[in-house]
Amino acid sequence: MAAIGTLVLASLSFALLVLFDTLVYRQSFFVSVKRMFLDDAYFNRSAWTLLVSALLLSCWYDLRERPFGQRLSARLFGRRKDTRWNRN
Amino acid sequence: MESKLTGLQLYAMMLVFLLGTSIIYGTPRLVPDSWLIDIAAIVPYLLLTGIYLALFWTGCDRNLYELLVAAWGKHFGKLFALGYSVYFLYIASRNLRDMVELILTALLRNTPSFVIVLAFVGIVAYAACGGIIALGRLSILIAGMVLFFFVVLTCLLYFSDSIDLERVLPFLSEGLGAVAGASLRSSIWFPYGEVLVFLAFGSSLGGAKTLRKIGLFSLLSATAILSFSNLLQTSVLGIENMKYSVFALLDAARLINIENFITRMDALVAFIIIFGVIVKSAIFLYASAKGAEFLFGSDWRGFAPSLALLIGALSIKVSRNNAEHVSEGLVYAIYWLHIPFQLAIPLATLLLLRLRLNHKEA
Repeated sequence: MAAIGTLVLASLSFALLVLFDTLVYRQSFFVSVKRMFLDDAYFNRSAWTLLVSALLLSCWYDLRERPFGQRLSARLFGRRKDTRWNRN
Repeated sequence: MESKLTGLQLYAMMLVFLLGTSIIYGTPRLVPDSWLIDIAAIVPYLLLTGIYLALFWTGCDRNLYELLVAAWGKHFGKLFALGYSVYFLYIASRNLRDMVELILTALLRNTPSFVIVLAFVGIVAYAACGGIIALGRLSILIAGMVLFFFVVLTCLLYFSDSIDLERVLPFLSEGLGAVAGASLRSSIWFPYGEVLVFLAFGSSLGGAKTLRKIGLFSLLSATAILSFSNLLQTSVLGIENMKYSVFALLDAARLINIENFITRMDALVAFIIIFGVIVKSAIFLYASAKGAEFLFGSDWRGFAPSLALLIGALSIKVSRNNAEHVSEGLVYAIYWLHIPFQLAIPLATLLLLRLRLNHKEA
């Protein structure tokens, strides 16, 4: 469920940014959506890299909860004892 | 059972949270006497805090998300909880952007923003993953450092003869009404109203009585420090320069010059904002992850790293330039987000909870 949760929160957060763009520049919502996804005015495309990383990370967390993911995790990183903060 | 914060941890956490970015940006310069705005905001802020405390008291230590469901029912309550989760992510991203703007314009001009954001997001995720107690312990350390750097900055400004109290004059040139109006338009919502996020921690806060006592004490301390910081900035830069300065404390720190030996103390200001934003963003991230746990059923530790990356992405896309970032924060965010989420929904939730409680008793 972490992947779905992250996806929902990301979609809503980006919708909020588009809404503010519409309000600040007094333009239609669709123009703001287009600018959000296509314009590269200020920073480069690093935002999308971070967003995709967030989604992949949450997918990995979900996968790790399943038996197949646990086996894969054990093969990749070895079996480890639960860390102290996870026990807390 | 959840672990509880000690009084000192809660105090340090609230203090750093309130100082956070406000100490660098200063109170929005809506009137010439900006240093009075925080003092004038005390009364309306106390009323706002009264609503949050009453909500916490009525809900018997339940967290914000549980309170929303208890008051509004399963469907509407979850919808509002989702709204709060997104709201906390948005504020965290704005705070991160504040810090990135300061670092890019003043310190690391050639470093790509992506590197700064990625490095910072890693620290915030790690801090939040430690849980509320780890955040509390970190806050004590950071509160001490922020206060120490601020005192050093004040002493250096004093010894470099940069402070001239005449620069604060004319006093109340636009009248007391303008100051009170400015406090209602800005300060009450940012940073004071943002303490609403602490309601998301529920029983970890140590009960309504502790929250009332420590909340009030940290509010008064933060108000005193912020007012003093604004007064310091005005007495160094003057009212006119303050109006056009984006990072007022940074500009003031650049004037430090003791015998041409101690100069360029920008690093102190950078430390203050970096440490403040770490705690503030981690608190918002933790609150948002708790909301996600409440809504989607997965453990909050699974959400924290991915939501931290999401905050990084949002902080890059939140606005195209600094002017848009500031105007969005001072106008649109206040009317479209802060007033509904900090006042309207908590007030309506409190009334609904009271009604339900009275109905049950009857």
